[in-house]
Amino acid sequence: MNDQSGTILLAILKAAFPASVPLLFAALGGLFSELSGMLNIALEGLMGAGAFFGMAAALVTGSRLAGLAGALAAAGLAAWIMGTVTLRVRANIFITGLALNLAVSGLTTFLSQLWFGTKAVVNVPLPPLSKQAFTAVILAAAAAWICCSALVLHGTTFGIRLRATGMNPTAMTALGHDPDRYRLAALLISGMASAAGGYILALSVSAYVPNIVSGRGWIALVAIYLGKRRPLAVAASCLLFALAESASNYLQGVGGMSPLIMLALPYLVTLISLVVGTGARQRH
Amino acid sequence: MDAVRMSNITRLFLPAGVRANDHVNLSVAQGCIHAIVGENGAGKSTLMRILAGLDLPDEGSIEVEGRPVSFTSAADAARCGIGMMHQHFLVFEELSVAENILFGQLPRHAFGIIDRKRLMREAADMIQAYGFALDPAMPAEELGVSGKQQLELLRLLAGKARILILDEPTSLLTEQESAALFATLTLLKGRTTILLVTHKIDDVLKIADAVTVMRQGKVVASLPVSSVQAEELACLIMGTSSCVMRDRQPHGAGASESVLSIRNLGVRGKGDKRALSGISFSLSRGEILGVCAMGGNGLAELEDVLAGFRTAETATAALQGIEGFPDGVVEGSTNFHALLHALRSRHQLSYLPSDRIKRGAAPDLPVLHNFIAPLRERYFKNGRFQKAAAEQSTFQALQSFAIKAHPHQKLAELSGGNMQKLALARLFLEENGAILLLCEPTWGLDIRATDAIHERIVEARDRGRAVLLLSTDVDEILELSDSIMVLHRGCIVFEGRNDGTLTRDRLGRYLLGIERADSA
Repeated sequence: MNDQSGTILLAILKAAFPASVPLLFAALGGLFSELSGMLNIALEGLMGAGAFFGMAAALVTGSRLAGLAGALAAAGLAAWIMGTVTLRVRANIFITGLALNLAVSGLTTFLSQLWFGTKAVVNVPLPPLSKQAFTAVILAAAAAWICCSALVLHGTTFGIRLRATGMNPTAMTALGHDPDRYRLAALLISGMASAAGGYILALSVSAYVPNIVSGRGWIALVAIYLGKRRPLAVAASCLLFALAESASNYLQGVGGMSPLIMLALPYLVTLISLVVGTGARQRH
Repeated sequence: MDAVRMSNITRLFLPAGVRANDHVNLSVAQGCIHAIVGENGAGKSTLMRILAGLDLPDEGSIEVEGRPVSFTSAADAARCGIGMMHQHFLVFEELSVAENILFGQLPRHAFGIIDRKRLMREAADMIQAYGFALDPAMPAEELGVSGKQQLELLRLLAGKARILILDEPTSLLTEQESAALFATLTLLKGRTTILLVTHKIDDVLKIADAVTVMRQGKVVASLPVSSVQAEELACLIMGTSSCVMRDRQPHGAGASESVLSIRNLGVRGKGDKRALSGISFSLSRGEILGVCAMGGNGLAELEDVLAGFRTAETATAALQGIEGFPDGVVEGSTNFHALLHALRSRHQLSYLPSDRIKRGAAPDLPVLHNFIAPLRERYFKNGRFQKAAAEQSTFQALQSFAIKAHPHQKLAELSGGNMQKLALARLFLEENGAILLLCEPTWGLDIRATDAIHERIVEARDRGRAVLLLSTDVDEILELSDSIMVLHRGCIVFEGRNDGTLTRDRLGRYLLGIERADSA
């Protein structure tokens, strides 16, 4: 291996960690919902909502933390509406999830035009923060989130009952617990975590870019399955997808390979892992 | 003082207006075992669901330990010390045994974080105190039927239940496991009041102190067990003045011509385990081969392979004298699969699935279309549906099988017993078929319906069909089979003629894998 390819490899590895953070938030959030027995297909839309409303709040207040609060509030509200419609009115979660995805993409474009007068990139001037410091903060947040979700899901009464809801909702009711309470909580967690992921994605470029999520919510869903619904394995799957993403960024410039193929790399890795992952599960 | 007193309980099921419970009165003495018996649909489950807070009565009142109560949820009933053990276990499969037992009282540190050490210790203490042998750290999904039942019992006791409702607790157990459960119940008696819902008269006589008989939503008798005979109880349950408890003798015609022999059938299971291995048997005309196993020991896989839902890894089949099929040997999994498919589609192998709703019925279609399904083409002439002919043969079948239904009624409206009778009647449409594959034919049916189904199975055998009966019900296997085969962990542990030497007790030992026959 020559020097140059060594540096590229190192750069890819270094970039993969921060790139995995948005995925991590969404996937582990989605894991709560999945374990409670409801596959939340709205992760993509919730990430988009987090990115847009987070940056809008940051733009108004000029504060990153206030932006985060805005992202969490907006996505929390969206997830709550989705949960209420699904659980109270007994609507199909796939339909409500699909509706949320579509609504977010329409609403953000509309509000972007209304509030900022453009459907394109909105730059958000924020107090200066070095790239290293930003990376350190989000990596620490991600590490905390991994530990926290693993502990909550497997080591607390709330987590055990949430998982029990997914395993056997009838038994939950018969034992005097309300499965819907756990499912609504799980949806709220998945919504807010995804929004945090989307907001971090936008913060890393200090701007709201339309369609910035570009499929990461769906990839997060795949990570849940690839990680066989175990928190640490899900986190590892996110890192794998992030590696593919950063590889595609760095290798576009390298000669001999079609840049289009390189751009498609994260999605190809997702597809392959899905095929291999299901194959492995069937053998299991 | 009575532990439970239910007065004038009425529960109306709309829209049909069926009175599931019609002014029912029930008194259960403190600390005794009180059996509730009756046929399916007699209202015993409804009454118990009301007592457990899972259903609300339209009328009537309940007193628990002398205090009037009204429950709107299972949690309400649990607060009064009432706990129900369900027929379909309410177990969280992926949680550990300890987490399941202490689900309602998980010991914890601050912030709801679970105290693992205490959890394991408390669960182990409880398991020991009641004389069970469960591993608290094991995932619940690895437990067998009786393990799951013990787990559920412990969970109720951990929740400080003083009044236990057990819904058909022995229906899935072997003789030995039932005896063990009864020993536990006897141990609990005195401290705990136990309501035992069952349709097994033997169970009542063996363990209960008092018995209440229900029929068509009403209580027809409440008696101490010491003053009642088995025949009398059977009469009360069925509502007939004279009733013979049937004791059917196996046919035992001896060796007759084999139509299908299967050799060395193997099916892949989870991971490295094999679901079935080295299964060989032969089906003969005019004979019932009963295959018995506990859940999870390969019966479901055998059904799936023979019905074509799953491919075997290895298999050889030898055919003889089946109409439209050349005699000879078929080898290899693909050919075997194709053979079974051909047998099915050419009406030589008729199949009664164990999951009678998912595999055996179109619940939203009328009885008529469900009935003619296997031979639909017979009722179409030049592409036109021969409604009159279909109606006529459905009508005939309904009459000759004594099915309470109308050809144009939706199938879903039928009772389990009638649905199963219809499914069986349909198999008889394929009148020239060689083989009948019957899976759990009477699961969940009451005495009367079971009896009717059994009669028909014997009739089919006597008409010269080869019957393969897959059942987890030991009594059914012993009553009907000419030959018996027992599976344990996917292997044959016993095979032989049902000549009366095989007792329930011995069969139970084979089923549990405590013993295996040398010949196998």
